[in-house]
Parts: sequence; C-alpha cells; structure tokens
Amino acid sequence: MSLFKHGEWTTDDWRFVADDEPLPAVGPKIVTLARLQGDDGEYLFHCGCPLGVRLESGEPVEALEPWLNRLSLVALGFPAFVDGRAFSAAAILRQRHGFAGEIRAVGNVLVDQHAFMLRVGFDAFEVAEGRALESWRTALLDVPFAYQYDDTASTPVQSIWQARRSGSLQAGELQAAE
Amino acid sequence: MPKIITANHLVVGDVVFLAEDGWTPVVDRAVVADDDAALEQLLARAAQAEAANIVVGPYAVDIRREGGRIVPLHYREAMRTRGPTVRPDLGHQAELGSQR
Amino acid sequence: MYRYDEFDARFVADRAAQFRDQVRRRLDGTLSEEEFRPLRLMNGLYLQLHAYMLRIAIPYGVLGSQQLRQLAMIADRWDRGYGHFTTRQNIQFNWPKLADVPDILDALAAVEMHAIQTSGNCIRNVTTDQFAGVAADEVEDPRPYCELLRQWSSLHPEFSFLPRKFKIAVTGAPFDRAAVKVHDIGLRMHRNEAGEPGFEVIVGGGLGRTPMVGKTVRDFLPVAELVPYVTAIMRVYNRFGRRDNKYKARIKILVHEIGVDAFSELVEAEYRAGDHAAGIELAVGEVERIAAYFAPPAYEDLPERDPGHMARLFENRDFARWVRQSTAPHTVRGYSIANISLKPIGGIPGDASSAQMRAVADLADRHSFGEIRVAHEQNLVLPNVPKRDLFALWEGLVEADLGTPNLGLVSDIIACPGMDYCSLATARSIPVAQAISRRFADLALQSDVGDLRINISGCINACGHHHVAHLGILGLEKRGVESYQITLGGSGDENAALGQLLGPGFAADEIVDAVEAVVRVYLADRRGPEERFLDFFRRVGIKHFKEAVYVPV
Ligand code: SF4
Repeated sequence: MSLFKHGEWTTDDWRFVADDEPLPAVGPKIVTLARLQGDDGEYLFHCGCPLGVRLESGEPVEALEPWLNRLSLVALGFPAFVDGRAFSAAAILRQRHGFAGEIRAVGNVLVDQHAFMLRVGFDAFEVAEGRALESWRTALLDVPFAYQYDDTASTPVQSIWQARRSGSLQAGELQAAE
Repeated sequence: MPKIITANHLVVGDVVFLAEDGWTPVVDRAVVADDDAALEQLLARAAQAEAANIVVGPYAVDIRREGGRIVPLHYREAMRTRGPTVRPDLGHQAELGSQR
Repeated sequence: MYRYDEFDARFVADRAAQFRDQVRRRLDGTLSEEEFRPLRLMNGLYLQLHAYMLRIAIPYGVLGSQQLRQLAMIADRWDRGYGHFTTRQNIQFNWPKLADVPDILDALAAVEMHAIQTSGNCIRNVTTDQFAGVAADEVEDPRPYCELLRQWSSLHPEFSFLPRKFKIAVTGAPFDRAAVKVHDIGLRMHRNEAGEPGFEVIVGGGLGRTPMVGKTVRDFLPVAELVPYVTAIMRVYNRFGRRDNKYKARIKILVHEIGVDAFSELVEAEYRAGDHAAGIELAVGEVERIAAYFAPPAYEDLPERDPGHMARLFENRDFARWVRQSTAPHTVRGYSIANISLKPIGGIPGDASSAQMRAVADLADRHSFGEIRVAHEQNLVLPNVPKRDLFALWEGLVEADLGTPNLGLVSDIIACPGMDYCSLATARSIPVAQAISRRFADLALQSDVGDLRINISGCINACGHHHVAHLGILGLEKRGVESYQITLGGSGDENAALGQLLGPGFAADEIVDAVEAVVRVYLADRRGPEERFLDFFRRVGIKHFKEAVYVPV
C-alpha cells in the first residue's frame, strides 16, 4: 500500500488492526466499527494515542456519532470502485458533523475518482502498489472546475457557480491557470 | 458442438473472428474448434490477443458447417457476422459482399 | 437557448482533453479494457453489437441549428452519414472508431455539446417537454431548471457512482409530454395558492424489468429549494439503494421495498439535517442568470389568422393534412409549433441522414429562430414557426423526405435500436416497426384509427418505453427464435398507466397480423371515431381483445 495525502506520497504512521489481532500498546491505530462498538470500545481511547476507525461501505456513518469528537481518523472502505456509498459517508462526516480529522479512502481506490473524493472530504488515499502512482499528482488538474458548490472541501477544484457569483475568476485568470 | 471465437476489434470496434493467421472479419475464415482441447487452445490465443490490446471481449460461439460456410447457431451471432438487418448497405455484409 | 460562458466551455473542453488522454492510454496498453470501460462509459462510448456507439447529450432536447449542422458533419466525417435520435432526447452514432472519438468530442465541444453522463450509474441527461417555453398550456418554463440540474449533476462528486443509472424529467405543463411519472425523479411544475412556482416531486417511477408509476413525495417544493431537495433524495438513494442485484438497484425498488412513506421520511430527515442556505442562494442566482438565456426570441406581432396561410390550407389538401397532424398551439399569436416526423412509412424510427440534419438546420434558421427540439418520441420540433411560414416549411420538409403527416398516429412508432445495433437485445425492434408502418401506410386508415401509439423495445430494458404505449411490443427470445409480446392500455402522460399483457407471444412473422387484429377489434367495436383507442380499452378491458386476437384452436 502507498499513501497519498495532501498531494504527496507519504509514509503511513497508522496501523490497521484486524479484529482477531491483539491491540498494539502504542502508536496510532485503526480498528473496525465492531471493535469500537465492542465491550472494550472505551478502553481503546485509554492509551492516549490517536485512534481511527474503519467503516465498511454498508455500515452507517451515524454509528460513529458517540465517538466522533475523539476520533482522529475515519477510513471509508470501497469494496469495489463502483460502490459509491462512501462518497456520501464522507460528505456527511464533513458537512453535517464538521469532522476535522483525516478521512481516508481504502480498498479499491482509483485515481480517476481522486477529484471526486477530495471534493466530498477525503484527504488521504491508500493506493494498491503497482498502480500508476505518478498520475495521482496530475489527474486532479484534468478538469479543475466543478459546478457544485462544496463549502467544506478544500481542493484545487474551483466551483463554477461560486466563481460566477463572486466574479473571483475572470476569463484572463482562466487562461493563466492553464 | 463445434465452436469459433469472436470479439470486437479494439481500435475500430468491428466484429472479428479468430482465424489461423490472426483476426478476420470474414466468419468463414474462422478456425473451428471441434473438441474441448481445441477450444481451450483458441481461447488461450484469444486471451493473449486481448491482453495485447488487439481485441476486446472474446468469447466462443456455437456454429454449424453448411457446405464450406460457417453459420452461427444463434440468430444474434448470425447477425453479428453480417451487420444490421435493416441496413444491408452497412457492416460486414456490405463491405465483404461476395466473400460472405 | 442556453449558451456556454467561459466556465462551461472550459469545463467541457477539459473533459474532452481528459478523455483524449484516456483513449491514448487505452490504445498504448496502459489501461486495460476493464479499467477503460467505466471511463469510456462515462463519456457515452459503448461497445455494441457491430461496433462502438457514441451517445451524445442533447440537454433537455434543445438544439441550435449550428449544433445540428455539426452533428451532420460528425456523421459524415467520422460515422456513416446518419444519426439516431433516442427516446431520451439524445443522438447516437453507430459506427465511430475508438481512435476518432477524441476528435468527435472536440468537434462537439466547439459547438457547446458533449457526451458526459450519457451512460453509467450517474445522473443522466435531464429530459423535458419538447414544447417547453412555447406550449400554449404551459404554467412555467422548465428549461432554466433543466439547465440548473444539468450543471448541478455534471461530474457530481457524490453521485457519480450510484447503485444504478438515474433519470430526471421535468414538465412545466399540465398535459405531461415528458412522462415524468415513469422517471426516477419526475418534477411537475405548478403554482401554489399564492401564485408562486414550485414542483410536485415524484419519485420511483420507471420502466425496464419492473415497471412502476412514480409516487409523489412532495406536493409543492418551492423552486428555490430544488437543488438541495434533489440532493437529499440522491443521498438517500446513494446510501440505501440496493447494490447486491443490478436488476433491483433502481430507486423505484428502494421506494417500493421500504414504502413511499418511509422513503419520504428518510428524505425529509436528510433534508432537515442539512444547512442549505448558502446552496439555495447560489442556485437561485444561477437560475436567474440561466433564465436570461431563455428569454423569448424577437417575435413579430402577427395576426392570429394569416390570410396567405388560410388560403393554402384550402388549396392544398396534403399541406392541410400535415398542418392538422403536425402543428401544435403556440403561446404567441400568429406562431405555431411544428413537429417533424422522423417516421417515414417503412423507415427506421428516429434515424436522420446528415442531409436531413442540414435541411432541418436550414429550415430552423429560416423559420424558427434557429432552434430545434428533439422529442422523446424520436421526432424533431421547430418550436417557433410563424403561421405565415408554415407552407414554405412544409415544402422544405417534403423535399428532404421529412414531410410524413403521421405525427401521433399508428405509424409514428417509437422503437429502440433492438438487435440491429444493441448488444443487450433479445430481438429486433426496427424491422417490426417498419412492417407495421407499411401495413398501416394508408393515411386515410391511419386518420381513422386516430390516437394509437405503438412503442417497441428489443429487450426487457424497455428503452422503447413499450409499457407506456397504447400498444406496446416487447421483443424476447423464445426457444431460439425472436418472439414478441403485446401489452395494451399503457400511457405515459399525466394519467400514467402500465400496459397489460395480451397473452402469449407472437413469432416475427405473426406480430404484424396480431397488431392489425388488435386495431381491427378497436375499429369494429368502438362507439365511434371520438372514442379513442385508450378510452375504448379502458371501457372494454383486455379480455375483449384476447378473445378476438387469439382464435381458439
Ligand atoms: S430496450 Fe434493450 S434492445 Fe432496446 S435499446 Fe434498450 S437495451 Fe437495447
């Protein structure tokens, strides 16, 4: 796995701990929703190290509500790239709950979805080895405009509706941006 | 049941058939597999061609021989060898004419 | 009509450039077919039975003459000199080469067109009344809202990987020409007691394997709230729509399985939970900006009855017949809406040659402020024709072989491409349409039969909308041959109903006789010509037809 975050390939400090694995004593870790909801759920926060949870695409994002302000990361699973449920989950986390931690895309993560993911609030991407890693830096700028207005997303993609309204991007700048 | 392999050409999109020497639009030039071993060989060749980005979506088609000709059993596959039935001026039926 | 500003232009051009790069990577082998397939589908490029097929969006069916000329150019240069207008107000080219598609997309972008989201599990081209903005019975012009939805749904970050495709239709008139009750979302514009415009929101209609008439979830949604409310519906669908079975993945199944009340509660809860103020403000401003493009053209002040036109009607019976059958009332005095039938007797429904496209473009420039509409019945419309010009228009149409006066009659058949082109088909549909059209070629007979609509689909996917036809035909495969089922009594208008199955299917060489038998029953037993086929059917029921069509052995 390679981790793409904030426009760069970086090393991953987080460790995903499967349900049948013992919890490491230290370091940032990602657990499943089942483990978080399990008997030792509260205990997970005790070590004081950052905690993340991995939500599969069928699991409701609402289930995270009791813990959201203490979670540092939510990983959203894409079992197949065509399964778009995690896009809504990310949007709800950011827009409704104001979740400020990392939202990470895991599973079947395609570069062609990178811009969409950023715009709904993902900010980190676990990409399988051997995929054209270089294209992750450039694909984003293929279509640097979007119509929709996403007030919570921080992306290089400009909202056309907003730009029209504010007149903040004029034709001249459009050219310059090329 | 004798079978041939068909697919679509990647660049052009045309219907093609696996022949001795590559892919052909002429169904009568297709190699016929009369048993499982022969079919497996053809499918392996087709998979190679797909991996080499020559054709898309190869699959086997049941056929019968009629004189020197090859006729797919299913009407869908028979139509694929010719072109739209409502436009005889288009598709393989138009371009290949007498060959078919 | 709507014109692109620099943002729209840049957006579409960038998207075309992106696809050019994707095609390049496919051709050089960097992308496998498995990886490329979803990408090409997002740009409307299918691999069909004989070749690739490119589906081009005609947003809500509105076309300028320049655009139609460009489509003709594309047909000649990169295809086989014709195009096929679809039941979703789009156009398809049946023979493009993969390597040429980037050039085609550039040529489209040059005239403010694209193929974005004409395929795939995303929000598809929004459709509407082909008479939008000029229909005499219209309450409110739906086009600005269609354009708003087009923009909002284009490359939507959250809703581009839905459980299944998603179709939205809007009508601004009480007589529903857009079939809004058989779409995933149907929006019917009307006014509340205070006279403010809004939408009745209908969800969960659709055809295909499990046809359903949509259910109303909101009687009146203020127009300003359109985008956030539709967003709430989409989010509920994206989260809870079924993904385990593609035949159960449309929103109609979700609405059906949990019930419209529970569905509506989910949507309302989602809607309440959001903060929509900023979005509403932006969308309202955007609609205002868009609406300016749909300001009426510079209509002349014309008399209701043009003396020259009246004289021609008297003199020329063929012309009079065409006018009677093909024109519809316009909001502006002295103007008409002129329909152009793409159903010549024995022809391929919805096909137009490049020469015909150019002829229509020229006629539109001369007689209709350069504007053309595409109707979901696979016909064209010139929306703004002075009555004074109708004769000249008719002569031009006749010359281009486009003057068949059969609009709305039994030979005005909707037919999907079927197995002549479509890789999903189980049977052919075009030859059946052609044979029926020939059987009823006699215009006097057609007039006598009157309002009887036949729709044909080549498989259960129902692109030919056979369920909502007065007489629907579905092509299937039965024991290795084509077999055709007839349904009767369907209707896609404001009183939407699904057709009922007549009985066992017919072989390809029996279907036309069976259709004729149905028509003969109607002609023989109706109360008179004023009793339309649909009314007759509703009075006598399916059994009456069964007995007459299936002769007991
Ligand atoms: S109804 Fe079936 S055959 Fe006809 S166009 Fe749709 S998918 Fe193809």
